Amino acid sequence: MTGTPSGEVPLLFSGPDAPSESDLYKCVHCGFCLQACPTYLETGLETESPRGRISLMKAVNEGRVGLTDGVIRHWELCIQCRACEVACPSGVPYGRLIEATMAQVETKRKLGLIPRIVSDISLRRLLPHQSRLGMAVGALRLYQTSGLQRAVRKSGLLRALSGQLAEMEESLPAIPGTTFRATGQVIPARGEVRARVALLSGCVMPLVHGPQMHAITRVLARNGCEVVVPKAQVCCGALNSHVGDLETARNLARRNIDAFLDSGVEAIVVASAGCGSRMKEYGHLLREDLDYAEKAGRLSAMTRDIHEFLVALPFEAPSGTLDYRVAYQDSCHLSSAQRITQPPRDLLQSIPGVEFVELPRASVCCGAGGTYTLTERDFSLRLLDSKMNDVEETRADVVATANPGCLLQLQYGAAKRGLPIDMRYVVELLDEAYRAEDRQ
Amino acid sequence: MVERVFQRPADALGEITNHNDAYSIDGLQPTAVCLSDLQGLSDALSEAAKDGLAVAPWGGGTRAAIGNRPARLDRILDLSRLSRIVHYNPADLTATVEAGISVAELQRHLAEQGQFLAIDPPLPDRATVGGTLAVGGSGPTKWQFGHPRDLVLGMKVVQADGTVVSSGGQVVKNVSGYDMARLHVGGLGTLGVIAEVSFKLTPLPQGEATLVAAFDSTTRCLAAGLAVFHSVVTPLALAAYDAAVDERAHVAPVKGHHLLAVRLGGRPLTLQRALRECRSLCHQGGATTVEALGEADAVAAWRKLADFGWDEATAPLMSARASVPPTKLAEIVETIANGDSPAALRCETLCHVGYGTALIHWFADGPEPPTHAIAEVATRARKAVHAVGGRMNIERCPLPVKAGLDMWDQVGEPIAIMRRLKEQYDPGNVLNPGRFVGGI
Amino acid sequence: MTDQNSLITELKAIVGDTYVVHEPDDLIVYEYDGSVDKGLPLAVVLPDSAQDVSLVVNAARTHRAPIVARGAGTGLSGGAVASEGGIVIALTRMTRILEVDVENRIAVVEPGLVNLELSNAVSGHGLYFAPDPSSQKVCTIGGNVAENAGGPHCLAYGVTTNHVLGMEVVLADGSIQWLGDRTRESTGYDLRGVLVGSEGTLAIVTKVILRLLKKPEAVKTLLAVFKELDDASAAVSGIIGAGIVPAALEMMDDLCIEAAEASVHAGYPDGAGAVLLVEVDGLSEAVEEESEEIQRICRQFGPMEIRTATDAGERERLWAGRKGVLGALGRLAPNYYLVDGTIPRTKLVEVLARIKEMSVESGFPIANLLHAGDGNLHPSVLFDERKPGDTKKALEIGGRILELCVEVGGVLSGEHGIGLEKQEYMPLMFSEADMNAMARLKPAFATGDLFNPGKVFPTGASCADVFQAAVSKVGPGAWI
Repeated sequence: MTGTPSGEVPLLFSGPDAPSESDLYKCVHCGFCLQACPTYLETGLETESPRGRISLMKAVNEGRVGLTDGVIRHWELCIQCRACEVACPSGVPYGRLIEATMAQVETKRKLGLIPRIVSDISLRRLLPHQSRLGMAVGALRLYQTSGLQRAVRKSGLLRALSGQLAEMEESLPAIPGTTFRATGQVIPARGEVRARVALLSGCVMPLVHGPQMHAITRVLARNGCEVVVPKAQVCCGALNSHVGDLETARNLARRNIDAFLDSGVEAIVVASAGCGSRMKEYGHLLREDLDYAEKAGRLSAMTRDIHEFLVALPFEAPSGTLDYRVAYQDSCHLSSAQRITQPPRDLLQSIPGVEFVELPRASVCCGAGGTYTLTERDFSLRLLDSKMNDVEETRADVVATANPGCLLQLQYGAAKRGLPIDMRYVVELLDEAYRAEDRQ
Repeated sequence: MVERVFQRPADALGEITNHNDAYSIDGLQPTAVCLSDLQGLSDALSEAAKDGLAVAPWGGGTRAAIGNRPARLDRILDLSRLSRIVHYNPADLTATVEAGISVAELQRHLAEQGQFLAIDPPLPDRATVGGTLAVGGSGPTKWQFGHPRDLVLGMKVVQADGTVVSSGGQVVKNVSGYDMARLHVGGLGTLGVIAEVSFKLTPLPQGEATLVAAFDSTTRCLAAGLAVFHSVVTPLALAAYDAAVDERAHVAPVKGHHLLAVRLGGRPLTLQRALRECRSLCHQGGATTVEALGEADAVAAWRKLADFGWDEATAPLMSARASVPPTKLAEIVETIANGDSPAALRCETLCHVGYGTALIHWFADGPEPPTHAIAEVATRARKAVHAVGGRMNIERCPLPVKAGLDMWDQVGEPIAIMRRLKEQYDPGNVLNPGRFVGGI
Repeated sequence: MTDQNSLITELKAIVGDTYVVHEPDDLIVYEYDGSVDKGLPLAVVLPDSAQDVSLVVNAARTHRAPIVARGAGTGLSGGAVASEGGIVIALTRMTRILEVDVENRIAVVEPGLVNLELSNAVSGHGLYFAPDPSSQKVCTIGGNVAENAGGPHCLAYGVTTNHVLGMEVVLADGSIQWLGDRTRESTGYDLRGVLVGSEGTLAIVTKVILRLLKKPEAVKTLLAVFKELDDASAAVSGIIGAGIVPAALEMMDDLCIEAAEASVHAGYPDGAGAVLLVEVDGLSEAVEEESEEIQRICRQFGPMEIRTATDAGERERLWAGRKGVLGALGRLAPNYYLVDGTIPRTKLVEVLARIKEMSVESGFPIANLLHAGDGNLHPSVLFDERKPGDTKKALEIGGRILELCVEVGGVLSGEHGIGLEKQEYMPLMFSEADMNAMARLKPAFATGDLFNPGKVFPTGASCADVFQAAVSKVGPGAWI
């Protein structure tokens, strides 16, 4: 009756990173999470729902089933958007559970060829090393600007090799010429200094969304923030922990703690929702690390999402006008993991001229989910398709969001359908409005 | 216990000397038993079952004309003395009463406590609660409060073999066991005899007002009724009737081609606002006159509307009750009342707008037309009702017409379930044999 | 075994491989609903149409495998649990809104549609679907029909059965039939009416025609905080006695208040013993007049505070404490057993006092959440399943509360259903003859033992066995 299995049943989850029983048995299978779950909404299958995934964790924990491929498959299909956490009346920390579960299965799972290459190259060899990632992205830009991309696409070579590969190629984002580099620079505040903050530059954003990163620093400066960009910072480690590679994630976390904690700022501002939610949970990630546990907790406490930070500051509403109809797609790691839904909407609605429309089912995941677009291509596209149906319904000129993965995914979705809709970061729009006022 | 067996109705009715209706159903003259307690009813039924008698439960006898001609009929069970209020706690807004209490008497008791039961059958001084439920339909107030079956919380029924069974309860919210009462409401006493009923009551409105609006066309009148149905106002009742009904029954001192009566209730400011809204909706709908009735006129008008077609003064040759989607009322009234008729009959209609009920009455101005012509009128009307997705039951007609015409509309495939219900609950065919759908 | 394989092959031929769940590891996620009961099905099938359902029914009948229909699996009485194995028909793919007839205020929907999705979809037309169970964000229309679901707003607008006009069903012989139609008055026996609330034992619903209501012009929510539960109960009686039937009338006791404070910081004053939440809607004048009257009545009983709200955001905040309370009870104890019963409204004070006595005597805290307007109680017995014997005691207390409900003229279940949870309590309310009359519906619908066998009716276990049976059903992590 205690919810723990009896003695003779072998525990299949083991070690310090095993899902905690007190977390697991908080779930009373009420089912309130179902409609929040993008994979359940897509399939109607309980096996692809949070409640189902938790009951499988319990079943493994109780020794009723083994860590079979079939069971693992249901967890892999979880996009880890954590929308279920918001819906849960019992406060089950699902993100923590799935992360710990994936860490348990990491050694056992048998990925397909492409997912394996993707995860190995991207997560272990590229993301942790900004210089290598920079080179890779540089090469990508060369591919796109040299005319090679056009030639490859025209040749149909990739489609002949693998349809999946060809589709992945088609979804590659266009790489801009401007990048953003963390060099330890300090961007001065405009006018009176109201706050001194550190900025996480991240791994993908500075390379793929360089101009937007510059926009972010401008918005902070415009609101009286002196912005420090520590040179020693690294990738936040979110993608690694999603697939269960907690060791790499911890190493990255330690390096970021060293880079940020003593930079003498009052807040660490993060513009990417996924990174923000990861850093806000460094405390839990390093809870067993005697040297870092306390520091990790402090860093988490200092971490602020950019929208959250600007609204709390409070930001100065722009007077420049933007003549757009704008919808907002909640980034899961902002709305569900960080429970921040209103601040991005407040920022958008503060812009004169912007006609804000609510996107139906804005809180349902678009299918990006970190490496999910690569590892679970089919599913990711199904989710994107549903999302784009809703986007079309809004008749918006611009869809704003708060995370690079979501932005890229939505851009791909619009391009695929040939929709003339701009996908933008919320803060990027704010920057445009500020710049419009400068011109007035 | 069985009190006495009477050979003639006048004896059985004892002190109700002004009652001239015989215990006669479609010309059959059975014997009668007058019962005053549950045990007596149970005994009477088990005795009848044993003797192989066919019995018909009898309340006030006001709508005994309903149904097909009985296949057999040996004995009437008069329940009008089974008329106690078993339990009434005004603060619970519930009451449990024996089936034989007259609706008017019950309403008098309830009114003393500022409450009422939201049914208003014709001739409520005689109509009993049990009979009203067994017949199923009700008067104009069902517009807001729903079908009488929605007011039943629990029921005690005596089965054909004399077994007393209960279902439901005395509280307003209950999902314990099957909702058996549903079978008996509208079941014409063919599965059991309703003996005791628990009801949900409604507080009497603090104030009431009635508007009558006149229109120069049926379509306009019913369209205005629908406009009220779709407006912010929720009337207590909403009835449309034609000039002929008004001429025959002198409903209200407002004259026109087609008339709309709106009954409103509420606290003073609410009532004023509702009156204002309905007045303006009627004017917008092209009303030639809109008048608020005085209190006495209003009471009389609603009484006459509920009684129409069932009191002596307005007794038609043939009556039917059609149930259609609300927007289709105008269409069927136009087709049936204003179209060509195969017999020289005057058709007069009364509609419960918003609820979708049309009460259609045919009167012979001159000599009674031949049987086949009357039947043809009914058949054509039924066809018109079917064309808009509705159903039509004939509630009264000359006996010879009954012989060749099913009073009940088709129920389709579910007739098989209905027949099996009859086999389950009345295998000996004791209760009202032959009077219900499909010869049940 | 071959038989089982051939059944699964047949099922796959009907709905395709993806929509037959039959691997033992996968079936684990279909062994429960929202209740304490569990049962492993043989296979789960997700049909896409009434024709699919009909074929599945035929296959199951041939193989003598019972069928359990399932919506979202949020039920609290075990209605969707495959207690005798067999095939679960999960209707979660049949989620379409087939038609909205605005002029006649009717919607035709499939059973897997989520309750709230319907209201959202018709909201643009100024309409909504009235029954609003607490799980309305996830529970399905089909489940609502099976259990005759209620909700806070059914006080004024009625429960599911009052809003179902007709439905397409698949019977045990595989035939697809319509019971009821788009009109309000049916001909023949009201088969639609007996099917609503029959807990999946008579037929499988594949389409439903529902009534929609127009959204009221104005809505006002009042929150009144009292020091004593008795005062709040007296205020409830006062409101009903004054001839007001509010849209919703909810009550929470001190333990619920404590939990709600801890989780959603509702801001109730210190020492609050009961919170009353009243909602009135309709014409703006009616809302004003009735809310004035309600406040006047509440003031007679010395409230600590009265708050009112008219705009959506403010109303949401007043409701936050009430809506969050069940989840928040987990903060007071690791487990709770949520009891559902209805009593006559006038017995509220008496019954709450006796529940309090039970709590004091047993040492188990009991938190009371009530749909006070219609006398529907939800006492939650708080306990810790890790303490030996406490689960059994908590369930026993639940049983005694139900006995008490019936004793004062109430019923076993107000809105959760009988299912597996309360089948052994049925004799408290109904005689052998009563239950026999109910059970005859099965042969009338010619169900054989096909649909949801072993539910609703007592299995014949003696009363003493009831608690024991209940205890043995409780698995780890159950909703208790």
